[in-house]
Amino acid sequence: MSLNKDEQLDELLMSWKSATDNDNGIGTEELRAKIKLSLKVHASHDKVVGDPSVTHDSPPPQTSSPTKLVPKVLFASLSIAALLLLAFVLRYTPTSADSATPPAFATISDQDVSNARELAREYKKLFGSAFEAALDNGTDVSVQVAIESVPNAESSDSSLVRICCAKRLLNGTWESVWLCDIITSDESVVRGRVATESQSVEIDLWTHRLPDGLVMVDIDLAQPLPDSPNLEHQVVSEEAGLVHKLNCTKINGREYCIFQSLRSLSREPI
Amino acid sequence: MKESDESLLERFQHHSDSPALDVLLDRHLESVQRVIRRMGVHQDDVPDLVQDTFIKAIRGITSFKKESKFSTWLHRIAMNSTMDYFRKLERRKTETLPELPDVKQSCPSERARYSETIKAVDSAICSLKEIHRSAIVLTTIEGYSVQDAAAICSCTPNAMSVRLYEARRILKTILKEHLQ
Repeated sequence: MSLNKDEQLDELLMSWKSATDNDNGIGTEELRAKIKLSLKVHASHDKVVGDPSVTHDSPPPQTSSPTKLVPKVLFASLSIAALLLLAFVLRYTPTSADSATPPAFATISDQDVSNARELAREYKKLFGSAFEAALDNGTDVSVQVAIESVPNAESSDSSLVRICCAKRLLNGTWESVWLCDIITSDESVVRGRVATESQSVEIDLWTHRLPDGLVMVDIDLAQPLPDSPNLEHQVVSEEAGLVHKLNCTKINGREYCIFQSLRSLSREPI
Repeated sequence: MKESDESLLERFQHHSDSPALDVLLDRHLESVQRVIRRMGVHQDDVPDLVQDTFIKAIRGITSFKKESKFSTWLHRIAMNSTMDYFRKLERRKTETLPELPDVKQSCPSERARYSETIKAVDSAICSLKEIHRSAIVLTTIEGYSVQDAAAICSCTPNAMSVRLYEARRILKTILKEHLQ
């Protein structure tokens, strides 16, 4: 019995499947070990960096006799005064702990989202599914459009991504060195440039929406800081508006950090 | 009774239960590895993509809403990593001078031991666009339903059917000499 072309194609494909079934290159065991090790490293990193449940045990309460009460009250007062003084000093002195606090301008506000959403709508009206991205570096806006529009583009979801470089001043506050807002359609490979007086930063960016609505951001920055190496980073945006610190370095004794944040323009309520 | 993937994940996440992770890897590692390889990723890069896939899936599982099966979610991440790989490859190709050898070709041709027919199929599948290749690999080769393949590729089942039809049409044209 002769097979039709579809059946013949299926046969060919099944032959290819059988031939390539056991073609897995690197041993599965080796790969398994690598994955387990990576997950262990990530897990321990998460525990050190971000587990708020780690607390120090309080010492057991002790009873005190009335004769020791006065010195204890005096001691407590002095301790409180010392703590207040310490809090004041810490508040106005830049410390490494402050480095963890991102600058306000790295955060995308609700108003920014609203504006970006409006702009994205307009761009999509103009360019349809060919619209890929718009980059605003504070002085110029460049729009990236696909050469061929994709009529079957399933995902028209967009995000606003902010990438900025900040310099810490002597008083501990942050100053913006450069900042770029990117309205991007999911899955578009975005390429842009931010030029400052002393450098030109090349940005490559790709966003991908995971099934549950989280957005994964893949960023490559060429020379984000003068004389600095290129930076490749991948972030899963776990919380709307969360600012990620991608990298920090010291140049001439000053701290410089690269921050990134993202807000979805499609699924988040305004 | 077979323990569900979700329950194994929970055991691994909350109790660092290594045997639970072993079972998950037993169930899915080879399948993910196979799909990534069959998509035409260079064999040197397959382990990295597989590793990335598992790390992303397991680290991001807290927000997995269980609307789909874990394996669908996992393969979706694998497919996205693969698509990203091809994009980066394309980008590097345009940035690198042709005579420089550091850009790895996708769809490796080191399958010398295969028959001419298998090589022809290999080459034909590799010549497909990634969206068509994923349609063929996931449905015809890996046996996913059109619905599941659509979920993995983040498209509608209709779009997946169109991709599959188109992929088969192209394959029939390329492989016409092998079809009587």
